[in-house]
Amino acid sequence: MDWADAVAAMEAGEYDVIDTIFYSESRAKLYDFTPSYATIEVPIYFNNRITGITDAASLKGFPVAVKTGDVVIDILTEKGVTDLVFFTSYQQIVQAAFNQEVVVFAIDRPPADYFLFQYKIQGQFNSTEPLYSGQFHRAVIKGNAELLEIINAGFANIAASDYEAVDRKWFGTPGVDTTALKYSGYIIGGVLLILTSLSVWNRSLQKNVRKQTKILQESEASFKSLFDSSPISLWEQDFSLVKKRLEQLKKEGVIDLKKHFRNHPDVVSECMDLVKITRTNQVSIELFGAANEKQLLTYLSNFIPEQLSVNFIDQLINIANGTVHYKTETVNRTIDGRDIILELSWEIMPGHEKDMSRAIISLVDVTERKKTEGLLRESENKLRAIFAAIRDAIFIFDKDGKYLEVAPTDPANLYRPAQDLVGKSVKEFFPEELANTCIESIDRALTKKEITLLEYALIIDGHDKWFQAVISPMSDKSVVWAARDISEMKLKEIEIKELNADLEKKVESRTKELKLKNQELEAFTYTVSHDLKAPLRGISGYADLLLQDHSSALDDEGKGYLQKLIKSSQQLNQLIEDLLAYSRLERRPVVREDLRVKDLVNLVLEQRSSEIRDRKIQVHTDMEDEKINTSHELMMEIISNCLDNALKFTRDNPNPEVWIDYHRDGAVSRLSIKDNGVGFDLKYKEKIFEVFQRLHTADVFPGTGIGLALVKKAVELLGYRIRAEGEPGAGSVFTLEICK
Amino acid sequence: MKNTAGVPPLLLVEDSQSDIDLSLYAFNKIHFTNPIEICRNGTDVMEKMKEWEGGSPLPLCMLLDVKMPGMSGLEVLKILKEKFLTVPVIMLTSSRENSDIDAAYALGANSYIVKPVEMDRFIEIARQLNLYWMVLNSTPAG
Repeated sequence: MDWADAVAAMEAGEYDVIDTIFYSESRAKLYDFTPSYATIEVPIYFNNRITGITDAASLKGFPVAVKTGDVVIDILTEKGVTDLVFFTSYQQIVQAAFNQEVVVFAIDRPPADYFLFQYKIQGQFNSTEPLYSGQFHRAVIKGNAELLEIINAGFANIAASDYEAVDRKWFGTPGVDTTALKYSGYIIGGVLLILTSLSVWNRSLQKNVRKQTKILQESEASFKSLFDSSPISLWEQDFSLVKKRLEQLKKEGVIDLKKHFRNHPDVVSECMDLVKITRTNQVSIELFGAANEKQLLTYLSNFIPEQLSVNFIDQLINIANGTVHYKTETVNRTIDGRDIILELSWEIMPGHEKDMSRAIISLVDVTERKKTEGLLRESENKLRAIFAAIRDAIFIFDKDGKYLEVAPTDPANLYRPAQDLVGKSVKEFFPEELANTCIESIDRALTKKEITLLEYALIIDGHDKWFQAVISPMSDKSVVWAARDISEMKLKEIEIKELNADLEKKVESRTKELKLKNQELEAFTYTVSHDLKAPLRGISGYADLLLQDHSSALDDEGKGYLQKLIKSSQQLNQLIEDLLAYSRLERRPVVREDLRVKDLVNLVLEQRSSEIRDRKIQVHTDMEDEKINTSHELMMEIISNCLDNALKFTRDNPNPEVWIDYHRDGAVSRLSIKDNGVGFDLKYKEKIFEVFQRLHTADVFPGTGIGLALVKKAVELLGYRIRAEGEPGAGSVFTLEICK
Repeated sequence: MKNTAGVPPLLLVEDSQSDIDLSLYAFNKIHFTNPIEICRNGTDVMEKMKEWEGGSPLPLCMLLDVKMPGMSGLEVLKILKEKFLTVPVIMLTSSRENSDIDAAYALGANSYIVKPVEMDRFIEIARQLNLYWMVLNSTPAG
């Protein structure tokens, strides 16, 4: 046992007697001593490689190992030996000598001989003459005179033979080392004395004390083990100084601590310094990213984050209030600069409630949890906003049409409150037929594993409401059902359908009317073509007959009248033919095919070849081979009428000429028919295309006045354009523009 | 009207007296020798067809007016062609009304002629008709 521990244990009352103790003035104040029972020498031991050590004076230059609290320290110091190395026990000194860490030491001879023997180095060390010989006493705590007497009496009873027996047991066969044997008796004697005195006098008390001590030791050890190995950051702190300081503040008249702290941050820092950290554990070190406890404590004493000091005020107030269980959340910063959110709680240890000298504080890092919570909250907010923005009612159904969940969209989307729906089947709310349709749709979505649509109508508050559901399979047994109110759309659809039906009816009746009109027109043109022409043929025919077979019965005047009659009826016939052609254009559909304009022009020229030849008309053509998609009939109408026009109006020119050009210019193809005939005044360029418009009297240029109207009609039907240019006496040009 | 026995006649179906007159004049002018039989309406033609069924000789050619009171020329044509497909039929029409022409061809008409107003052209047509149908064209029956 270390000397210091022994002294402390004596003080604490754990032991009652110290055996083998030198008398000194300082010790006499603490203990009562028995009369001396042995003389003990204290020599200087030195490694036998060293020579020249004989006394204290010769020790200079060598550090001397001594035991703390030994009387020899005083003696050596007196003799001017100050280079001392302190150990707490004799065994440690000899062990150090064994390890060759110590070469010189000064201790009592009996334990020195004993331990040198134990370490088997008794041959390596020599000893000087004793520096000091002391009388050995036994000591008890001062004032315990009764015990002192008992001890004296007890030792007197031990026979010399008993000492020897003990000696043998400790040192083995006597004679190995007589010096060791000689002194071992003292030690054994001491041990026996304690055992004896305890067993005889104080057995029960000692037992009890030992038991309690053991329990306390075990409890302390188990607490320490728990504390150190705890997976949570634990701290044992002493709030007593802070508590005192806070009480002092109250005494000084501070009522509102919180306000005071806010106004005096220096007091907060001061209080922070007053909190004593008694111990902490490995997790705490790791929590703050420290390398070891020392680094952690240094860091904490220097670093006070703003937020911590705010939080600390609350802790101080709770210390002032003597709060035994306390819990808060605080932000702290680690050594490597990370901000961590900690859940701090303290527990004042029982028995320390008043001065708060022992508090167990736990810190739990909740940074990740907080972060997750934040993300979760954010995600929840997002979802809430999304749902709020949705105009659909969204449900989760199981395969049998039971409402499993109702999404938190606007409650106005629902026809029943969500809590009324969940857990119930559509069968409870919908008519049977509709409920079955719903379940079938769910089944289809689940079977086909695809989104299924369903439109259905419900009567809500007496109104017909239409919904469209999008049913999306979620798992094997459930679907998401998003239903949208499409009533407005449906109503519009119905309205449109009604309007359409109405319109169709109107169109039908109009078409009927139109058909009737068309039929009338057909009948009319038929009448014109047949009934009007039949008598005309009669007039003309009989006139001809008269002229051919009965001309002898007529004078020249009569013959002349007959000829005029024939001519008039021919003109009338032409007029009827042209009118029919005009109306025919309107009535017949436009049939298009790929044609060469050049071919059509040549065809018309061929039809007019005899006239061209007879009148020696020069026709100049310059045409591309290009094919266009157009109507044969209509194009022939245009070309032949324009050409006829050119032929007709060049009648009075002795050198009639016609130019026909056909060329493509970008997207437009142009066909122009030019003549050097009588021409026309440009102011009539629009008028000449109108029906029955004649710029000349029929007597001068025969014609019905329908030709160019036919051209215009044909051009319109084809979607082309035509323009007429001319100058009186300088001919005219008709230009057809064909856009693709 | 002379009737030369054994010579197949030309049948003119026409309601208009003036057209009959002019036609006969024109055929006469070109010295047409075959007999010309005349029906004034569809009912007359139906009677004629009964005679043919009874063994009377079929006409070499038939000139059929499109527009007639009662049965129209097209109706007559339809019935005729069902029974006597081989008789060539030339439709007579007042104008180039395409619908009439298309319908006539669809029913089996062999040709059509637009009745001219000028007598000269009437005669010319009669000449060509004679040449083509009476001389050049040999019918399966003939």
